[in-house]
Amino acid sequence: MTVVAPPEEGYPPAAARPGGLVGALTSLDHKKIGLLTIGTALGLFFVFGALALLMRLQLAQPDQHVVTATTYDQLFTMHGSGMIYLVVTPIAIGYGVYLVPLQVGAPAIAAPRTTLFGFWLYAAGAAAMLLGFLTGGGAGTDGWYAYPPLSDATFTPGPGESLWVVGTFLAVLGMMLLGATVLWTALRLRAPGMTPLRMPLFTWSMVVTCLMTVSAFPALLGAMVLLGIGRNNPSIFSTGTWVVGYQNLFWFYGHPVVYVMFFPFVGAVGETLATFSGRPYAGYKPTVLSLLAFAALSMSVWGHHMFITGRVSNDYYSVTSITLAIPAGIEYFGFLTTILTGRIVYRTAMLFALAFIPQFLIGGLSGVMVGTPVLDYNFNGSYFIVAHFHYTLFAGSVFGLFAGLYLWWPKATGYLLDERLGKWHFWLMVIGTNVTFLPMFGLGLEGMPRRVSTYSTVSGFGTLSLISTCGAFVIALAMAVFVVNVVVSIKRRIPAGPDPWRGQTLEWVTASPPPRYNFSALPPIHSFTPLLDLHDAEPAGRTGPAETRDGQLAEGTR
Amino acid sequence: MGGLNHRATYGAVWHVELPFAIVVFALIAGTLGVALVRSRLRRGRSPSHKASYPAAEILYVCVVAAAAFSLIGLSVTANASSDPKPAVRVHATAYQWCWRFDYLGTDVSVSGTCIGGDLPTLELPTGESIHVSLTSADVVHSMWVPYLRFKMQAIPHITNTFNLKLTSVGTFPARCAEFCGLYHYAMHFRVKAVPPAQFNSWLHAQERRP
Repeated sequence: MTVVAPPEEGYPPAAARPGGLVGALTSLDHKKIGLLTIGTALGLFFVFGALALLMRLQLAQPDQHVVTATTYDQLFTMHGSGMIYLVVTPIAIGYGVYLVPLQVGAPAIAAPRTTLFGFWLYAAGAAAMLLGFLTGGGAGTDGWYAYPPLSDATFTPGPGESLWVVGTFLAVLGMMLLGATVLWTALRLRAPGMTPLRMPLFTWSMVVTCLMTVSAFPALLGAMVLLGIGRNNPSIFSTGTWVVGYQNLFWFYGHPVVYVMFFPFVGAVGETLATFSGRPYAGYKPTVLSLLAFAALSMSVWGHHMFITGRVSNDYYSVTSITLAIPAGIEYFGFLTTILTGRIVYRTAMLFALAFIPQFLIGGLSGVMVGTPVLDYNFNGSYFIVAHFHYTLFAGSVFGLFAGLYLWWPKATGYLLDERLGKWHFWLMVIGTNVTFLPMFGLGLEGMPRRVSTYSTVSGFGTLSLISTCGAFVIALAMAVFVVNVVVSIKRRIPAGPDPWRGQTLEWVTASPPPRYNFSALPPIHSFTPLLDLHDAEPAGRTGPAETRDGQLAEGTR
Repeated sequence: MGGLNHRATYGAVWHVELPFAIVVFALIAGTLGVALVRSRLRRGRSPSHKASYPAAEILYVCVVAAAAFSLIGLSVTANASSDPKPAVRVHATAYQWCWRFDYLGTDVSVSGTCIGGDLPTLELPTGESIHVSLTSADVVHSMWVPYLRFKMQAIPHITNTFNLKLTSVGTFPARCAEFCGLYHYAMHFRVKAVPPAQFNSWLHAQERRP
């Protein structure tokens, strides 16, 4: 390996910091902040997932009252808000906090104190939102978009909804700070030789994600301020102006955030596909361009959530929304070409990445439908929408999340996950996901509105609802297998070595887990896959990822 | 706002977009399948390291763009509105948690309690163009008639309008589709389409009632 000067001088000794819990919670190491963010969010993933199971129990049969209507309203509000504000966004950006400095060869993240403060704002927001459950009236009840005037003090009095507003504000502000420091790191702290077009695909996906974070998230902060005012003085909503104005502000954030919860996982899927196809990602430059175009367009499509308000230009938002199919198509070209011209090794990470391709596609194709006003007039507010966004966010993003988790777990912990349990996790997830969410398209077409705590026998929603509930419990089983896998990995401690997958990017050059300042030496960087270049320069004829038996990977592959 | 026969407009677009989606899904899933099989057949051979495939990609982008622009054309064409002289004008008011329908030009008003199953029935003539003005007395609601494949938000302090036409006789369930508080799940009504003569006699009978 060619060694460049290690960036050691000028950094404080790592031992100067306190250890234990205080050390973990106050560390300025981007890896610790990243893992804190991802760990907190993964923990909450189980909490808000459990709320969904309760909802599915209630909806399994017509006229069923497992929980009261008030409780049900808290369940869907906290499930939706929790998953969006406190789980998927933080994991998406947390991946960036952990990985971007490593991928660009930086010893630390830019503005580490701001990054840590961002995590703390997020943690405080999560606490505030959850605290609602302990108040007399319970947690927030107005859904993740909390349209006024329903969410003002007249129609939803009580501290639960106020805590929801405060919690959302804090969590989103925290994510904005994290996004900003990740962006700064990618733009300003790259190692010598790493030009913008040599940044790894995942880093590029984080750059566009963070661009959207800093441009769109302020709109939600404004919306929450508006609600804060409305919860003190509801007369602000006594004309229609801010009733519709809020919807505009909300969706100006609300659409880009969908891509914030999606792009990092596109990056993770791209890296996974390339690694386990044993080749550099195909069509890197067009993909980078398409990500940038996607992010720019995403700022102009919010009105498609508002076709049914009768207050937006249907033609304009339909044009911008359906145009998104072009950059999305370019991303698919990269995915498919990479695996078509590679040699696939079926690790668990790869399985999740492969399943992402057709499953997200269902979300994308139904997205074209809801971008068409005359179809959206039927779908908006129905279970068709619930199916659509769960195909994008669960069948898409969460599968990308797990592709990344299985890919980078050995890097972050130093230990391998069990492949056999991983494959059980994967197949149960595929079955559970499709059995849960496919029937919801049918429910929407049959006329079932979302956010209803029960439905009558004559409505005919019973059969598909029951199937969907069964699927949800298969997902729960899959997640239980995942927990077992994590526990087994931590107990068994099979060392992963620096590079268990024959990785392509700089994070695989350093130890697992990486030391405090990440690298002692860097290889020369001549492309977006510096490590692959290094492997290719080797005389030995290794052409793909290590193909030893499951869980039996030797320490280090170089 | 929008066309007149929403169900027909929706049907025309849906019957293009659904097959389109199925074909695209089949093509991509098929390509994925080919990749998996091909990779198995090529076992032992090196993966390609070619950075990109510009000719194929440009062709592909052209195809995707053509498809996207066709769908945009379809979508925008379907947005075209018609504004005929309506035979019946209804003012609909949504409130927590039911509906009131005022037949404009008459003193007929229909309402109910919704909760407990006392649903208001919006009776309308078939074959005539109907003008609906829609507002809310409190929070944002949404008036959804799944049979019509159409909904519109009912927004306080704002009145939205749309036209519709019913082509066949029947009674159709309709629901609130915007979460509006505790009894959102029960905020239903019915649309009853009857022949014009029957509608007129019903309306007159209602008017004569004290």
